[in-house]
Amino acid sequence: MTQGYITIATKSPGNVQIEQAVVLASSLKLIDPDREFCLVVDKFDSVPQKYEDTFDSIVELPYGHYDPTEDIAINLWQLYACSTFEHTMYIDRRCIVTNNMDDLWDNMVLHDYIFSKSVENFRGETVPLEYRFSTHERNDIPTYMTDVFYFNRSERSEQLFKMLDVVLKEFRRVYLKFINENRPGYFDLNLLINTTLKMLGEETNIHGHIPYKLLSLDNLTLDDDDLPTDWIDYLSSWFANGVFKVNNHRVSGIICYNSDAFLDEEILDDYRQRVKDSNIRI
Amino acid sequence: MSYNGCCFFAYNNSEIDYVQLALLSALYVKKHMKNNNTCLITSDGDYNWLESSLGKELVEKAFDEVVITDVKQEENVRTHYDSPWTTFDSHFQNSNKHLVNEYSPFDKTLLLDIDYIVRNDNLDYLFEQEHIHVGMYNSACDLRGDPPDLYEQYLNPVGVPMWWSTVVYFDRSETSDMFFDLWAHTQKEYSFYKFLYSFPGHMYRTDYCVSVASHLMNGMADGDTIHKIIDGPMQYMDQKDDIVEIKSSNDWIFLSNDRNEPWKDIVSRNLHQNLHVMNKRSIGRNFDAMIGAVT
Repeated sequence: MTQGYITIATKSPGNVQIEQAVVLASSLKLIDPDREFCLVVDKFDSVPQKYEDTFDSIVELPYGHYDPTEDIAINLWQLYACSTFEHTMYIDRRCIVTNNMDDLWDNMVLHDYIFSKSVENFRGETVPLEYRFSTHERNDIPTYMTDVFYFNRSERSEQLFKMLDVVLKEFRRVYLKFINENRPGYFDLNLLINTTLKMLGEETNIHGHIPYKLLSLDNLTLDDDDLPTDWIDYLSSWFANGVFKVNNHRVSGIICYNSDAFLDEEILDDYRQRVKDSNIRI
Repeated sequence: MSYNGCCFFAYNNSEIDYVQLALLSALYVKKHMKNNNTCLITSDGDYNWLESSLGKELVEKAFDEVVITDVKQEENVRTHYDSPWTTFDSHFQNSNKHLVNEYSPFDKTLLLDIDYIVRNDNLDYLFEQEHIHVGMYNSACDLRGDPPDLYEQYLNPVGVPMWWSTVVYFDRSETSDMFFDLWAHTQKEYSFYKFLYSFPGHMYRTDYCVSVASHLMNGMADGDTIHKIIDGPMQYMDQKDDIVEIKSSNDWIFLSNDRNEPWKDIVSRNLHQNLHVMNKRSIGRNFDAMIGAVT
């Protein structure tokens, strides 16, 4: 019964996406070396040779990169076909994991798929994401979190990904049919996965929970109206020896940093060096 | 059998008779708690004033122990409100509060601010749980049940959670020693921690020191090394609120002021709740009725 992690990335300016996947895979290797990590890419040559040994497997999108003008996540429906595991945990590439995951796996494998109903802020508080879910709520769409989710090999999971195939490819038509108010003009993966769950009648059938922390200003109560869009322009963060702190508060577990500006060479090198030092064989 | 009880710090200034308030608070502990030994920590002059103003008999009824500590206090001016319309400044003397573990005569101690009025026995559980070494409140609410301003919930809006030094339970253990050492260290390096944790204001606040100490001891995260008192959130009467009537020792009526529209008050009845009565002059105006309810 194989269990493993998967994420998706593509070639991007400065190789940011691949480097984010490198840090995620390295962080998982340090705390969970026995479970494999699979990187899904549009083309093999998106991954620089120096990073290849970070991943247990690199898989090309089997049905091609559907629309290269959009977010690579438009191809997320292909994950079911890409995964070589019986039990798969998808983690967005903009995440770091710092704690052991065994307890979580023991719970997850009891389900067909899991999307979390809530997420914590950097202080560990559960605060509703009013801005992120304003469109969902106006259109009666469920509000599951989608940065991290789990699925197994089952008929129910297969159905979900088949429906995602249609919804993600035809997202503008789906918006026209299901999103009457506050319709976005861009590809919104979270909104589309939640719309898919609604189309399948699964709004209330998802049980189980994957706890993770989302670094964002949307899940903090603030007395400031002039907020930047990116949390890193407002909060201080430190990273050293695997310890991650935001405003001097230690953050641990599955951390979704949700920003392309967060990762720097220091963090990347730190993780790669620690994997090297720990002699983990990939 | 351990010797347990409550400690009160009280040093008078030109505006507030803290030792009288401590006596009042101690009498409420005597009335409502099982672990009701009491200890007054004060100066020689203030103790003499207490005996001469309220009589030796009442003082001996209120306090089982008295610790005289004539320490030099740091200047710490605090502006108080008495309703939204009146303010006054007083010299707040709290720079030796972290030494309570040296002063306390008890094996297990509940340190109470003199304006914290105990009106039930909910806090007795602290003395019965061997695994609790240090306990405090880390949430609060006003008379209406609303949370305080963001700066009283966290050290700053994006900072670490606030812990209240109004009520501090501690035993004799390495954990509590470490807690008081950290409190002393934070006080000594107050400017550094003020910068690091970005807490506001110029006044030295023991709440900030215990918040930093708790944050460090909890592993710089939301942990449970420092116990969160379960009789929470800590309810408080704001300095802008007023007392209308003391009907009995645990049935009081207040005027609760609206923070956003200060010309508005609503009447609020408060039954059986432990209460942080922050408007100290309102206690003075109702002192006889409050004493009368417990003697």
